[in-house]
Amino acid sequence: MSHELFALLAESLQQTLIMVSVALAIATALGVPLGVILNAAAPGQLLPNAPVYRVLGAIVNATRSTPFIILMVALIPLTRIIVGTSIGTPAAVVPLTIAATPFIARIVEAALRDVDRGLVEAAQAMGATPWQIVVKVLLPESLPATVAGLTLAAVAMIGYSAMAGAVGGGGLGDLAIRYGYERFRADVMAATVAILIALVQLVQSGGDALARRLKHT
Amino acid sequence: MYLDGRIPMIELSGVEKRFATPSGEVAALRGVDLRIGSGEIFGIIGKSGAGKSTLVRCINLLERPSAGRVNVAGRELTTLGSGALLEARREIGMVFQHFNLLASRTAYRNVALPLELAGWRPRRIAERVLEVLEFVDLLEQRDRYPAQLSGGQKQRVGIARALAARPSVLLCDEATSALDPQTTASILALLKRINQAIGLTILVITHEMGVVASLCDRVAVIEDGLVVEQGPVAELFAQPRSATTRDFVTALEGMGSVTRTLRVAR
Ligand SMILES: Nc1ncnc2c1ncn2[C@@H]1O[C@H](COP(=O)(O)OP(=O)(O)OP(=O)(O)O)[C@@H](O)[C@H]1O
Ligand SMILES: [Mg+2]
Repeated sequence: MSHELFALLAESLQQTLIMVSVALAIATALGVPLGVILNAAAPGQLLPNAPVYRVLGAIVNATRSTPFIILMVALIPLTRIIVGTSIGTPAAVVPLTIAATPFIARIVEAALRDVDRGLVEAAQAMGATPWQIVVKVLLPESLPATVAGLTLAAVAMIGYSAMAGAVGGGGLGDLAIRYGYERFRADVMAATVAILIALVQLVQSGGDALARRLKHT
Repeated sequence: MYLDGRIPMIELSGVEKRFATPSGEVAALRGVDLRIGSGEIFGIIGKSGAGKSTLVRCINLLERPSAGRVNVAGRELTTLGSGALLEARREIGMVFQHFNLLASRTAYRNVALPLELAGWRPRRIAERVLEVLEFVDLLEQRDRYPAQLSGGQKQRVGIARALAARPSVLLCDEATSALDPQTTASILALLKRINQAIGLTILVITHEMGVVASLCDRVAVIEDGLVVEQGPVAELFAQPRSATTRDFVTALEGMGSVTRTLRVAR
């Protein structure tokens, strides 16, 4: 492998990692509370609130059902406001984050819903407030499922980030398009695909291992 | 009413509970009156669907009665606002059939949970948790997760957790129904020991007469949302008046264990 190719791959990998990890971090920070609210407001849950559940649910569903490539283009004005430009790695973080947040919110909502009702009842019998039930029971008990879901989100985001790269976001997708496709560099294309496969494998097995450890079986 | 001269710890008057279901209204409790004395072990027995769980859940207001009054340790729970109710629930320990332990917490931290919820200081929590774990003989297992404990050990964690905040009442809903006979006997012995050691009032819900025979001072038989008979266990055994009570007694005698169980535990 030529030195030049290696440098290109290293730089693109770094851009992809930054794009995905920053977007994942922000989306988790936003998605977890959103998931908690969705769960608590759902019918029959801790603090049922039909209007809140319906409005938030509609926003989440709308975002999730918009194809990423369209979301990306539609968000260009917003990206310009937040980042100052609509091209480059930082700019790609914005649509990635916005696509991942509702995904994570639904994951968290489902993970919380799957916590045994008996545990909530036990906490209520101990005089726990709804907030205490969320913090002390629901979130810790759903952690293995949430980690498994976040792993899923991370893998999906690696795929999206390749798409973001294609419209000027940098990263491995960008590299594959510019060199592999436009300049017929089959070696670049192959190397990029190999790195993406390895990255996804790594994330998946790391996430699986963490989720298993958190299960305490 | 027979209270053996004790002051009442739990008093239910005219408690009704109706559930609205798609197929109409279900009357789970249809006017229950009960007085349970301080320091008593009181049994409530009934067949499946009789309303036992609903009754016990009405005592700590996990289920709000549709009518009637609930008084625990001199406090009228049915009149309390939500904040005061949370406070009052800490006075009432509860033990569950399926243990309901947090899988994400060790035995130690499960027992610590009610104290964390009540805002105890860490040092006091540590002292108290070790104290109750020692009482239920689980000090050695304190760092194990529920998945690494046997059914009997899980229930002892559940009991330790219920005792941690020094409640004045312990409610047990089918606490031994998921356990084998030997483990059941050890859990019943533990409940007896708790009652004798600290004079805790214990309410035991069960569908097994053997549990009542070996543990309870008095028992109420509940059927279709109504108390059909109540009194000291020995009296009920000697002269069951209702058909349901007779069924329970016969079932137990059929197993040939009534005299043995009575002798062993008392
Ligand atoms: N949340 C609810 N909604 C509707 N009906 C209910 C609800 N909870 C209980 N019921 C009904 O109330 C009646 C009494 O139920 P409960 O669970 O108290 O019985 P139980 O004596 O505890 O029975 P088991 O021995 O099977 O646990 C049943 O007919 C049940 O279907
Ligand atoms: Mg029941």
